[in-house]
Amino acid sequence: MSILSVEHLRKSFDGEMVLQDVSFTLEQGECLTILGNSGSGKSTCLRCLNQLALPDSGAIYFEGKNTLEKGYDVNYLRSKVNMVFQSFNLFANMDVLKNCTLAQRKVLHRGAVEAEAVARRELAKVGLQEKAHAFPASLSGGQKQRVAIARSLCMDPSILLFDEPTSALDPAMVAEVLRVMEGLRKEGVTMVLVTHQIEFARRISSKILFLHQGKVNLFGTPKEVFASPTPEFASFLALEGK
Amino acid sequence: MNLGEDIATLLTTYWKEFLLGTAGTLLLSVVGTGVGLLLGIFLAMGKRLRPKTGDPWYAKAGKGVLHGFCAVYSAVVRGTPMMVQAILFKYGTMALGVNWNDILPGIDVFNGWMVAGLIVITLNTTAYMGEVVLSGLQGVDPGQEEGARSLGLTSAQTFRLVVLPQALRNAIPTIGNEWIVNIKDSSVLNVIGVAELYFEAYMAANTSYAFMASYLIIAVIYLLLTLGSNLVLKLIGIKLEGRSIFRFTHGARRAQA
Repeated sequence: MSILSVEHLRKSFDGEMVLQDVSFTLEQGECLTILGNSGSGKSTCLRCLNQLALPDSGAIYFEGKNTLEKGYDVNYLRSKVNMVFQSFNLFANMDVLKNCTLAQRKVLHRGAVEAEAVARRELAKVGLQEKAHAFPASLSGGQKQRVAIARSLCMDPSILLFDEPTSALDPAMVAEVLRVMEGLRKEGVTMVLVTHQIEFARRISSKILFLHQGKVNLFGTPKEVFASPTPEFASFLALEGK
Repeated sequence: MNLGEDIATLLTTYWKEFLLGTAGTLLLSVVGTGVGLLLGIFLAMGKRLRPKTGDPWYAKAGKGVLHGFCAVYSAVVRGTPMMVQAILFKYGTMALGVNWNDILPGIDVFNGWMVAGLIVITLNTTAYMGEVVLSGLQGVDPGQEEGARSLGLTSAQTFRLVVLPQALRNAIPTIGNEWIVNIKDSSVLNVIGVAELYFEAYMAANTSYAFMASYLIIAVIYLLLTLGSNLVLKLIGIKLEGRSIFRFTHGARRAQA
C-alpha cells in the first residue's frame, strides 16, 4: 500500500484554478520532487498534503485513510506529515531546544526528559547540538533551516514536506542544508520536495512530478522524465538554465 | 501668605492625604493597566473571531455575536470620555440598587468608591488594551502560526504558546504607555468621589483656600510618578532587550539581504 495517495485534487483561489485534477502516489522511503514554473501550483499542492491549504475536492489517502473526510484528525496528520518552510518559521520566542521539544510535549505528550533527549539527538544529526540554547534570531539562515529540519525529525514523521527549503538562503548556505537532506535520503526518510535546485532534485529524487498550469504534465523517475521531456518540461528546464 | 508658605503649610497639614491620594492613584493605574491588559487579550481575541466556512451554524452565530459585542464595546468605550463613563457607571449602578458607600465602609481611601473607580478604569483600559494587543498580534509573522500548526499543535496551543507571547512582546512599549496615561487620567475619577490624588488636592484646596499651592503639589507628584514610571519601563526594556529571546527578526528577509 502506498503511504500517500493523492486522487483528483482540485484547488482554486478566488475562482482561479490552481490545481486541476492532480493525482499521484508516494511509497514508503521515496523522495518525490515537485517541479514547475512559478504559479504552476507546486507549493499549493505540497500545502494540501498536510492541509495547510484545504483542497476544494479530491482525496488524499494517508495510511489508507482519506484525510479530507469529515472527522479526520488534521492535527494527527500534521504531526506525521511535517513541513519545512522556505522562511523556516522557527518560534522566535523560544530557544532552539524549546523549538524542538514543544510539539513533542504538546502533541506527542512525551515527557520533558525524553523530549529533550530526542531533540538533542536530532540536533546532533544536523550538526547543531551546541546551539541548543541559542535563539533563532542569532542563527544564520542555513542554521535556522537545519534547526527546522531537526524540529520536524523530532516528531518521528512518516513524511517530511520541504517547501523550497533553500530559496531564502545565501548560496553559501544552500550546500549545508542540501547535505542534511541528502543524509535523510540515505536514511530512507520519505519526503516530498518543492525546489528550484533541479540538479539536486535529479540526483536525490526517486520520482519527479512536473506540474504545468495546475495539471500533472510529467510523472516518473528522474531518468524517465529527463530522457523524454514534454515540450513544457523542456522549456521549463531551458528557463531554469539547465 | 505667599505660595512657598502655602505649600509648606499644606504639606505639613495634609501630608497624609497627599500620600493616600498618591497610593490611590497608583492603585488605580496598576490595577487598571494589569487587569485591563488581561481582559484586553480576550477582547482582541473576540475582535479577531471570524466565522469560517465549514463551521456549523451555531458556531457561526456564536462567533458573529461575540465579534459584534467586542467591536461595539471597543468603539463605545474608546469613543466616550472616561469621566462620562464614570458618572454613567455611578448613576447606572445606583439605579440598580448598588450602594457604593456600604462597600468597604470606614476606610479612608480604599472605600466603596475606590472599588467603583477600579472597575471603571479597568473597563475603560480594556478597550484600549484590546487595540494594543490586536496590533501586537498583527505584527507577528503569519509563518509562526503555520510552523506551529504544521507540527500538529492545535489553534489554541498555537495562540497561547507561540503567537500571544510574541504579540505581547511587540506591545510592551504601548502597554507601558497605557500605564502612564492611566496615572494621569485616573484623576477624572474624582467626579465619583474616588480618593485619588486630584480628589485629595481638591479637598485640601477647599478647606485651606490655598488653591494654587494644592494643585501645584499634585502636579509635581504626577510628574514624579510619570517620570518614575518611564524610568522603570526603560529599565524593563533594557533588561528584555539584552536577552536574545526578545530580539525577533524574520529570518527569510535577513538571509536574502
